[in-house]
Amino acid sequence: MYRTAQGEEIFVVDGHLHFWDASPANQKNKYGEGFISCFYDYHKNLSPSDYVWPRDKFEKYDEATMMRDVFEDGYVDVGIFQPTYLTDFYENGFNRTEQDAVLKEKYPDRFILNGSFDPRDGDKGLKYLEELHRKYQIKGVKLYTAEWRGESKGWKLDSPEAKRYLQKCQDLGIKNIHVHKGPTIWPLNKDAFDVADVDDAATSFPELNFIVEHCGLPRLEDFCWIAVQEKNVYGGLAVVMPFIHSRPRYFAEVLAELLFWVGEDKLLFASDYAIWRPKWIIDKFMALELPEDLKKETGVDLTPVAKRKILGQNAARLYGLDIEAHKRKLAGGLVGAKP
Amino acid sequence: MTMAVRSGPATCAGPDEAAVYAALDRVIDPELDESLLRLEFIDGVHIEGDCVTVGLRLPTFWCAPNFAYMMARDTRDRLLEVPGVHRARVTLKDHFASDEITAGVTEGRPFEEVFPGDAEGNLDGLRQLFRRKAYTMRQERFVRLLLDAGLSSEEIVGLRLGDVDFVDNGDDLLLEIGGARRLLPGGAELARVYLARRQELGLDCGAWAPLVTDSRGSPVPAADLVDSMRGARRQRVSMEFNTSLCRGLLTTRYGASGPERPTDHPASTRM
Repeated sequence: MYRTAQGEEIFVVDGHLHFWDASPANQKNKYGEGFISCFYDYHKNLSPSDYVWPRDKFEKYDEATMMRDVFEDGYVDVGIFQPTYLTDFYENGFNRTEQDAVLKEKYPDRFILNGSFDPRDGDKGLKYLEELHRKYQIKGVKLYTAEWRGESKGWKLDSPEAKRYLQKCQDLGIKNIHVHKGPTIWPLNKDAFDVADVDDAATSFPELNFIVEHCGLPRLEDFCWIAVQEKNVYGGLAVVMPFIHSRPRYFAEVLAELLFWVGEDKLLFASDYAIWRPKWIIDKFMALELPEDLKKETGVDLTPVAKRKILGQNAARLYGLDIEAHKRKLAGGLVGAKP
Repeated sequence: MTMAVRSGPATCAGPDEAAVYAALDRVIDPELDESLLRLEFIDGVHIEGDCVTVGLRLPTFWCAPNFAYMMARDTRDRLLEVPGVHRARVTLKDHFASDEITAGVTEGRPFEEVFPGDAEGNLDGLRQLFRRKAYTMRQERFVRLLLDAGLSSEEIVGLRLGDVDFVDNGDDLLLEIGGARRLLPGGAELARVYLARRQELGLDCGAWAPLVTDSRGSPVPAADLVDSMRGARRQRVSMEFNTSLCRGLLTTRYGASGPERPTDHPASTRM
């Protein structure tokens, strides 16, 4: 819970959390090493200096660290786990649903546990998705379309195989589809970051919500365009948010664009923990006012109402979370551990 | 070791170092629309006789291989255009596809051959797509300058390329609006880049062609100018944001260095 200087309470849902193991022991090859190195560069580049971790801690952090950073220090009331499997790069996967489930089990009111699917897994993958749903009652999945699998360098959301899986999600009531666009995907001569396949899937499955992680970066322009056309397309603010510290003008410019094209009802706060910690991002976000010239030029504003929606209300709505009821549930323990 | 004394008969002299750097400055990152030299992606230039070897480094291990290939290939092609350069080798560093791209580019092989099975054609479509994006972004910057100078939408869409003149000082522009001449201080740089992108895209660059067009070359009606610039602004903000991210990641990865320049960098050697 974030409390303003006036004592107003703001319910915070962090839309993108990881609990990964990228330690050298779990790295399968140079790609596993390259993947965590890239995350670590993002972490070092955009974090305030006193929030930068040593490399070994960044590779693998423990439960106590995460609970403190996110819930005790970080103002977050509820966090959404978004798994990233990467089983071709890491022996036990980078961050599988089952790893996250351990914490979900222990702190049931603090986490929303999402699953994942990969349409290249065929019938077996469909069964796995059903099993995740049966076991954990997942309401969302995180998809990483650039994941390597053997010879394949990625997949697209508008393929017939992917649509089978999306249909299964719709049938099971897994309504929230978080899509992460990465850089390598088939065919390699086309723009891998292109979000056009999200557009197609969102049209085909109007009952599902498509949350495009980091707002389609680096193709923000295409994402905005799609979000204007499709009612069920949302923007996840992971990676965009941390710009608020080191490049505040760019952050304000991007946020103004997002507010103009996508709107304050369709943007979801996310820290992408442990790449960044929610505390400093939320402190700066609450203190932020859009510069006058941007307000004038775009006609949008970042009002207290908009901040409240982005920080928690929008995600709560997508996940059917009753904020007032949930606040009462959390009132007991600091991190809401099972008794 | 920097500028070594050139020895031997003039006919054996290798390529001109300044010409090599000028060629490198013409290679742009298509996604960011900025020169590789200015982005500090060029890391080490070695001139040895008629052979130039250039190191290429990128912000992440995962930078899209198609763009990485394009930049490496363009670097090689521009170098080979420099008089006296007969061999060019581009080494892509610290990238998941370093070996394939370095070998493929040095041998001059097409992208679809370097990544057989992963690509279903060449990179022409992708290149053209990003030329359109760059054009849109550069035009928005230029039109914004005109709007800030107080020109109306009608005046702006009424301008033809022949109405834009560069002042001799190299910094300013002269516009011809309805028979009157108007000075635009500091407008030359934006106009120059805009016109260069327009030419690369293959749009009409004749004196009678409208100054403002969509990315297919069609004129924009005055009533649509504001909306059209609103869309273009989205493009510009996105590219600026990515440029900022890429610059930051590059610095995190390799430390702050400053762009590679002739003779002042230890990696720049002449034998």
